[in-house]
Amino acid sequence: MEARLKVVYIVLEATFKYNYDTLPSQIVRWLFINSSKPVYVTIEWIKPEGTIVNISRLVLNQGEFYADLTKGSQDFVLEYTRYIATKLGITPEEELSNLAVLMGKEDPDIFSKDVKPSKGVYKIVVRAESSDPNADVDIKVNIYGTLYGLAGTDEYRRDLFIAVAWGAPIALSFGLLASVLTTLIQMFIAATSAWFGGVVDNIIQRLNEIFMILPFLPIVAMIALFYRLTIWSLLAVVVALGIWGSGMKTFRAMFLQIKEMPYIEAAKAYGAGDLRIIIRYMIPRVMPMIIPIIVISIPSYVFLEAALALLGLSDPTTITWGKTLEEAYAGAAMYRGYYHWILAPAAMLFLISIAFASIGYTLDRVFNPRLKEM
Amino acid sequence: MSEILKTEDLRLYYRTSLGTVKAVDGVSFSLRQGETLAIIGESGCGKSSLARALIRFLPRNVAEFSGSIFLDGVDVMKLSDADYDKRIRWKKISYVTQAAINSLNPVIKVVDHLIEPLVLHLNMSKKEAVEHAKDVIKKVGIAEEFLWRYPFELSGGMRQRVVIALSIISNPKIVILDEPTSALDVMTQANIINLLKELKQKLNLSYIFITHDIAISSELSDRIAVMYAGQIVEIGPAERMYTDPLHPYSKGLLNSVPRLREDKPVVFIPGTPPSLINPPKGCRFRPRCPFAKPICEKDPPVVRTSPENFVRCWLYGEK
Amino acid sequence: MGRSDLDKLSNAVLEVRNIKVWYPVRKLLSIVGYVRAVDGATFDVKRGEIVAIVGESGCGKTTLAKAIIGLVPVTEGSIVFDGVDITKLPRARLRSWYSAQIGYVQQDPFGAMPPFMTIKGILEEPLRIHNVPKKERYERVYTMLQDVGLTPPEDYMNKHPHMLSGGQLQRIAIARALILRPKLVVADEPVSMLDASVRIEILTMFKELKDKYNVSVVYITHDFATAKYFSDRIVVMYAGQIVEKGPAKEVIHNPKHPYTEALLSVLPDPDPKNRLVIKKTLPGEPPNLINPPPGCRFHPRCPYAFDKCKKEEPPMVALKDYVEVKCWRYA
Repeated sequence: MEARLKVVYIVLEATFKYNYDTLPSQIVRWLFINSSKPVYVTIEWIKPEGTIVNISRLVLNQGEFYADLTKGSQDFVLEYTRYIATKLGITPEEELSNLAVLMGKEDPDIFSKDVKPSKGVYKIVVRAESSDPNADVDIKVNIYGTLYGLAGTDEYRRDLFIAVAWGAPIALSFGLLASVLTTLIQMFIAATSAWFGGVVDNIIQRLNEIFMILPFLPIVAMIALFYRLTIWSLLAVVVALGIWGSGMKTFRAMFLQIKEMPYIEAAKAYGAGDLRIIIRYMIPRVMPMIIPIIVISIPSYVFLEAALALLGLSDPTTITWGKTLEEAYAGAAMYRGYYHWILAPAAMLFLISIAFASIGYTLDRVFNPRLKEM
Repeated sequence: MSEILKTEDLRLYYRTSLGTVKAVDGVSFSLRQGETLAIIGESGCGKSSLARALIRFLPRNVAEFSGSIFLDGVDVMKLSDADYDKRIRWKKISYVTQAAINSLNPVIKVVDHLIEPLVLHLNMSKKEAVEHAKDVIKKVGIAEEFLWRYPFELSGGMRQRVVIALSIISNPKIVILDEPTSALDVMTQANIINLLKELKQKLNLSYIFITHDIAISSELSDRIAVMYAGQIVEIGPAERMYTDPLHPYSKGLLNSVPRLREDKPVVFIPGTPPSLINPPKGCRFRPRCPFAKPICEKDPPVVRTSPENFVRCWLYGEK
Repeated sequence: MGRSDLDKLSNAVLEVRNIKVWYPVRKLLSIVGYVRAVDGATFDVKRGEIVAIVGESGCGKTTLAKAIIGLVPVTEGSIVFDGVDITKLPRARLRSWYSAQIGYVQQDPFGAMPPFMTIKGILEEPLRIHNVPKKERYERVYTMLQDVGLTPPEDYMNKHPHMLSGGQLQRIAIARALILRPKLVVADEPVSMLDASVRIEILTMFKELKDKYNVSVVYITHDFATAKYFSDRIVVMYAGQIVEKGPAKEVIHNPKHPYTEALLSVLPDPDPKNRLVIKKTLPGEPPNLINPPPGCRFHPRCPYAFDKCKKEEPPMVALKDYVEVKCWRYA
């Protein structure tokens, strides 16, 4: 009795159109094999010109098999190079790139750097043979372009626009909160210091001077080293360290002047307490000045966070513009020519600066009119 | 005593965000050599602006500056700013400010203040100028050693004397005194007034004395001009003006000053002076005048009481 | 008219006894001397009375005023208000009780008002601080604005200080000083920064309100003419001390102390004859308050000084017509 070997023979065909003016950046393929017995797979890549490139001849077992067709030295490259050299009558000096092989236009330019893609319909044919009658084969091919999204992508092919959009609310809230909290707290401490004078003033000012001498960045770096900083704890640190400094001295000088105004004395005479005087009589006097200051400082805090992130001191789990810049730096974006990776977050930082600076300076003109005339 | 200064229809308007302020709105008067004219009025009547117009210390927002100012017969309004600066200011006419404390540069010694106009405008050498300064400082009653001090080392009264010295050092004929004693003590005030009287006699100066203090004005003035809402409403000799002025506003002003020696009842003028941006049509005092008549809605005529004096009121106008 | 004349003759509202306010002068950390701003002042203010404290700048009148209000610490002496010595009062009590008994009107009408508050807000502040209920607050503000002649009150309530003139602001300052119905108002040169013609208007209104609310007033000024017009009694200060006190008309027409005499002779009335006369003035200047001259402080400038004046400080001598002088010529 003759036993016939049962063999399953699978053919998969797929086509795609390619009409772009530049070659893709990468072509990868996954093969999905579902079989109890080995499967013999060949993949043919047919260019619009009709040339058949045999890109794979494999025997595979069950599993998922990934290959980057554009990397590495592959058999089909040599084969094809000889073919095209003969066809065009050119002696190749070196091997063609994988991409040129797969998608390059078949003219003498194929050997140069300016290789153009072959436009038209491509066909991929997968043939598989297996003795498992229930074998199943599937293929997936990803052709990656060179351009995507409004802001491009980073090296992991992540859309930078999303990164930048995601970072926007964080940048804005960080900047706004840091600016508002720092300025308000600074103002309040300065008012208290100026109003009470004497020992209280002395202590606060000496404390202020100590903090003025301590370097901001190294301290933040130290704190970041010892503790894991979330974006909000970073905010707390920035505010805690930012309230000291020349800003407080300026406010104090303003309050010292306000303190001498006759209406403050009048308030004391009709029984106003210290806290009431500070909150209702002194602070409102500087409010018109504060609002522009707060708005104009917002960009500084946004930049600060970006700078800290660049140094790796910020929250590693939050996507901010600084973090994106940090990744760009780590990914050597400048050297690899991925300028957009840096430009996208940088442009946002730039725009936010201009936006807040414009608003702030206009607010300043509204709140603090200069006496232009009599 | 010849006529040394004469203004005709002098106008000085300022541009402000609220409108055009007509600070000096058609002022005409004359001054003789050796005479003191006091210009009295409430704050906001334009008297300080009049002083600035006469010496051409104008701010940047001038909307109009017109009319004539005849100094020794020559209309100096026709001179350019540069010419005026070179030939008139501080040479023919000088200025004593109010708030002397602020009008001296705190980082410049007294002597340097005094020699500046001499060296810059009269082309004197520094040595000559210093001699001149020594002379003048004695005239105002300050010891020579104070020349080498800084303004903060001098008392308020002494600073005011320095300011006066500065105003006479280039031998002007006319000195404009803008509230020269307002920031001073009573005693110091009296001393400065005495000094001004002496200098007037010795140097035959003519003063234009601007003040809101009517009592003080009587210490120096031969003639008085009363200003209201940018105009002179009455001008006349001291003898008549302090006892029996013609214009209702002048009357009201004099009655509102409490007297130290008499027990005269004090009456104040109700209402407030009009805005200089939109002065009322016709007589500007009409809303507050106890003698207002329907005809006062028209601009009152300038009624001459003598060749140089007048009153601007319908009570004395043509019937 | 407020209460009956009988009330007005009752106890003194304020009794200032030998008040001294000395400010220490420090070099580095040690005290090298004292500026004797007020050096032994004694006077009374009766209920419903207006007492003017007259003197030149630097004589101590403003410091004395602030001491009465409780704004500067007192070095020695007592200030008895309605029977209570406020110099011994703890700070909290000063703030909660005394501040409602006393009103303060300052010299600068623009500086005395917080520029960012409305008039209504400004007048309400003292009421708020002293826990006056809301409805009553509005009524009092309304009445007060009417009292000081700013009618209709609705027109002024929502304005800000920079929209009003100096005269109007001073009216509001007076309103603010009276809104807690104090027994005493201290007015420090309240009309000096106003135009001459407005001064009398404001003082007249002030006097009417004083009658209506039966308050006493301490009126600080350097202007004898308004002091004569406005006050019942005058106290003359020189170099931190009181040199003469008495009924206003008496002090002005009949000055006893050489300083008062000299001061009055120099002050002009509007008189055209003034310009023909060189006035006789006092030589020298007021003394240094850190190191005042021994004996009578006025002796270096006094035309009548004799030996005793240079050595011993003269006592306050009571003369007829309720006048008192600090001068050896009358001892």
